[in-house]
Amino acid sequence: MSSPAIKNNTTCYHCGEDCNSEPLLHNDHSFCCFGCQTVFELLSENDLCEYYTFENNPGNQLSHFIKDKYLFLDNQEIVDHLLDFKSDQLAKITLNIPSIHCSSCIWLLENISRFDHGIIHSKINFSKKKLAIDFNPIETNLRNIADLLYQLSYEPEISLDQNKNSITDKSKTRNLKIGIAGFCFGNIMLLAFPDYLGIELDSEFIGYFTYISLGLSLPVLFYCSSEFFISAIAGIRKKLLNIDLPIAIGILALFSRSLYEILSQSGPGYLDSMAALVFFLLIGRWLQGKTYEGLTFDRNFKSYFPLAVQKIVGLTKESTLVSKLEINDLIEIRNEEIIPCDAILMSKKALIDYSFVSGESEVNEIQEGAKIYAGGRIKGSAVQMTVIKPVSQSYLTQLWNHTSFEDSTEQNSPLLIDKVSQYFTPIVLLIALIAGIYWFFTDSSKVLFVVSSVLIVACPCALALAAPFTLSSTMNTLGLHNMYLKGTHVIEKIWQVKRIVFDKTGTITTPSNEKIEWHGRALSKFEKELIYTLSSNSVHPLSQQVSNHLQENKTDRIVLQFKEFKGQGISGTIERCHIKMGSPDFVGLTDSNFTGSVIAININEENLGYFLIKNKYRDGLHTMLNSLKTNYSFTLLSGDNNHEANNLSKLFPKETPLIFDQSPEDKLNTIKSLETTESTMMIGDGLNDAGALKSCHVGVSVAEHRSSFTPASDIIILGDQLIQLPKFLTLIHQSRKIIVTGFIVSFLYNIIGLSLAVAGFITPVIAAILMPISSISVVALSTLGVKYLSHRLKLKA
Amino acid sequence: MKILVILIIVSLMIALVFLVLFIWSVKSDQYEDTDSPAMRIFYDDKPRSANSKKDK
Repeated sequence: MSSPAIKNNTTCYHCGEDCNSEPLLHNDHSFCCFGCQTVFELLSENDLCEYYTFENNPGNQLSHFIKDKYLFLDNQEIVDHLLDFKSDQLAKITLNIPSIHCSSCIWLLENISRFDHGIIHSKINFSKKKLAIDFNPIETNLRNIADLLYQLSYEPEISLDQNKNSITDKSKTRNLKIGIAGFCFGNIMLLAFPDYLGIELDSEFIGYFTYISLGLSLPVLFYCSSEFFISAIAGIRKKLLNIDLPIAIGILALFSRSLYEILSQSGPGYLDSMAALVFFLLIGRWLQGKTYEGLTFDRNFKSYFPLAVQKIVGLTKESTLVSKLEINDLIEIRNEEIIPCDAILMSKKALIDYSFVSGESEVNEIQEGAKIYAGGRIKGSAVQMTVIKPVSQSYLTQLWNHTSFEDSTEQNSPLLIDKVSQYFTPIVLLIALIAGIYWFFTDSSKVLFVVSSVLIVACPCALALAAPFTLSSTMNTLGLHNMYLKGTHVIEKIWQVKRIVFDKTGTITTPSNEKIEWHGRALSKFEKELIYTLSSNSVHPLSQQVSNHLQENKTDRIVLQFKEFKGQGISGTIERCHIKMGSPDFVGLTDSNFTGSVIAININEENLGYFLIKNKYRDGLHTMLNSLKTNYSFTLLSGDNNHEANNLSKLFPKETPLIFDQSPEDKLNTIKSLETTESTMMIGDGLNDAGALKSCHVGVSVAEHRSSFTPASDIIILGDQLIQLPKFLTLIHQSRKIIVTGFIVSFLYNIIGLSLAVAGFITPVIAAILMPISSISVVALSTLGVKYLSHRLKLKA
Repeated sequence: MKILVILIIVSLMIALVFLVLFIWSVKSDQYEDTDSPAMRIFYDDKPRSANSKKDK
């Protein structure tokens, strides 16, 4: 090691990754790997290098290329299922491509027909990360297209159960409703303007104006506000007083009162208030309903498993849908493919990586006749196996059949707003009743007037706006920091969290391998050989790492007087050189302040320097845990064995339970038992955490890239943002205070309005002023409040 | 003052035209993807006519 790593800042022309030691040079551009270079060559062959001009290093790095990954697309049955439309000349398909990320991607993928002339047209939906392709099934086929995209490192994610149109239809209807409500609101308000200014118009005009307003209000009542009525009725059926009930009552009271006033020509009514109310409420719902369309929060085991495998029938192979596999079928699984069901190995031996299931990253060698579990990944050559359990009954899928995967948890915790409305609705109705009775005895002509005024004024529009606006702007702020929430309801769930459960591998550790660095004077080749020889004699994990690091200096020298000092280091004599290596104290190094494990080296009583093995835990983890520990308790659940227990117990507060050797099912059960006493938030990353993520109160999955594959969860957070968690949680908790403030403000308006209404003083002018002011001030309070808080927490908003 | 009624009806009609345009734009999926058209505008229709270079 002559210098601490070769200084090389060359980045890959294609993907922008650091080309560590030896960049591949091609056409004056450097590439980090062969994959990137291949894509570049492919592009330059087809004269598509303009790809590199829109953005710098737009490409994606292809981690490992699996040949025949899309072999199953030769199966016509599968293809027919995937196609949106098919005729002799034209087929249409929509593919999910998570790695779409920049304008260059759009350009390339929309010019993809230059690679394959069978492709007629391609169009990207950037926000949904989907590519719609029209192609001629005679000239090309789906397999070719998928392979082409895969080669270009735009790997399509193909699964059979894509719910296609339901969500878009819903958002379309909502857009329409908002547009129509806005139109009606604006025009009714224009017609009501003379009233606001107190201008007396001829009764002739008033007649025209009010009738036009009435006409405009009909679509608002019957179309735009229908969802409030539907939800209110559904609530009553379930014996729940939700927030939509008082809203529906308010809308009805407003409309019937206005109808009466207009028909009896006694006044202009409150149609402007009604339209404004519906308009603002719909905007609130729209904000609340916003999600990250490009991210998938609901993956189940099917998205991890191959869609189809090669089944061996006699001498031929055919691709068969995984769901159609039966017991005793002989199947072949190739390198890097995932085993879809429990099976018995038929080949001589197989290398299987169960890291997906167990979280342990060791490759197991399995002999013929042994049982293999679903979820393992085959390494090396292809193997054959006999199915012993259908996919739906294998060990791993049993987890998903667990009751915690049935979608009942969503309704378990009533939202804050519904809790408030449970008290709110009866109180308002009671006030209306009492006011009605009072006026019945005082002045019976005013009863209807007062009762309807009470219901109108008490309509909780401000109340119903505070939560959606605050929650959605909190969610947006977190999204800017790469913490993506499934929906605003997740924020309310986080308020209840008392315990945070961490997974180890990939969550609190970084996925890249630990780095080893030399600090000290330059070592000669001979010295490196000495160090290698000595360290390879010890089985201590640290010496193992040093010897791995110096592997290229392998020699056959012999160590004399080899001694191992437990917990301190090793020493020995090689060719008359006395070498000591180990902890700084043992060797006699006086430096302290190391940021990792240190192996100091001493040859012939000269301190040469030390190897620094960097902590593979995320930087800032300790600070993060320290700032979280006042409000939360922790648990660590790891699929690994306990060799890291010492380091971990230094990181976590003393009383933290550190639980090792956990199978996915153990994790699930541990979470379940924790959930009985307190609400937990589970932070994990792999398929092995999927059960735990689903059964806990709030599941957080950690991803390294926005396009990485994450198990079903409530939150997706990028790995490098994890240490910001304390800030995020503070923001989330403070958003609750904003909502409560919003509630208080809106209650104040209601109290003022109600007392005026009960006293019989409410006039159209007061109602027209009071209602929009209360709505607008609550909306402003919510959005500006979140902005102010994020500013104070030094988060950008 | 009768003109006021006509004016209001005319203005409502114009507003209605815009409402119909809005409904049409929603129905024809123009709100489905609001990001990519903004980027697509930067690309030339035929990026370099040298496409035939290889075919020759």
